[in-house]
Amino acid sequence: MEFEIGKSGVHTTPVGPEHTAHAVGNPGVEVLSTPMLTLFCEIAGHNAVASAYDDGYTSVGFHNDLYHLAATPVGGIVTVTATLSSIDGRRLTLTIDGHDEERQIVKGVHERVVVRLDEFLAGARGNRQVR
Amino acid sequence: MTIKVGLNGTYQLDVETRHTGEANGFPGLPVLSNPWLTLACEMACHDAIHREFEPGMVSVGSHLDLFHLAPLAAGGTLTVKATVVEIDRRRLRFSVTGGDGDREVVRGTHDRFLVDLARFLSGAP
Repeated sequence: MEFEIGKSGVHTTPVGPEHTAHAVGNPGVEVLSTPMLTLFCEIAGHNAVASAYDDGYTSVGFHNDLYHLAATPVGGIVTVTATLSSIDGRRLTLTIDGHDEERQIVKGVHERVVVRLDEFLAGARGNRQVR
Repeated sequence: MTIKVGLNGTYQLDVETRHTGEANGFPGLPVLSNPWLTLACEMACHDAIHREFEPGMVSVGSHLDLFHLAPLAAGGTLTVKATVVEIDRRRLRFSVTGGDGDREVVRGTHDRFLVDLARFLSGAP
């Protein structure tokens, strides 16, 4: 696995009604929710590193330190860029920078850990069998 | 409005397939994804304070610093507890912890701003 410092991944998406805070539990707040912004950051982060995985490996998000700086309405176009800034063993740190058409809406850090998928899922708990 | 340090709230998320990484763009990861973990934390914070809101007031998330410590599959239950630890005018900081029984699943902080919904949606500072 050869991860490359400085490599970026991007995720661009329009904000739909399903992404609003209103849709996920905060009635009336008809703008992009923080959880869905987190999702966009994770997809950008994944895009930055996914091409380097060896077979049977993936990475999972384990730490988010994100500032949600501005409210984006439905129909706004959000573009998030994640750049690999450091590697410490299996821990990948990505810097996050995201904008809508008007302004910066997110900055911060997203960290992922490289895992063997079968080992990782063996540690998952739930009533339903995952494998 | 009497939001004070020490107010606390909880939220329980019964993990369903739609909350998994697999359902959110990460094939092969049938476990609770970070966006829904984040949502559960936000809801626990909301639960701590919303009874104190004045008419027209809502809270919006402005910062999160959350560690996702263990995987939880569909069928599992995440219980999150949030406590107000700091108040700086309209900004509230919460300490957040959550788990499934004996295992810690999330830990961190979350900041929310109290805003007037109409002013917020109009883009007023």
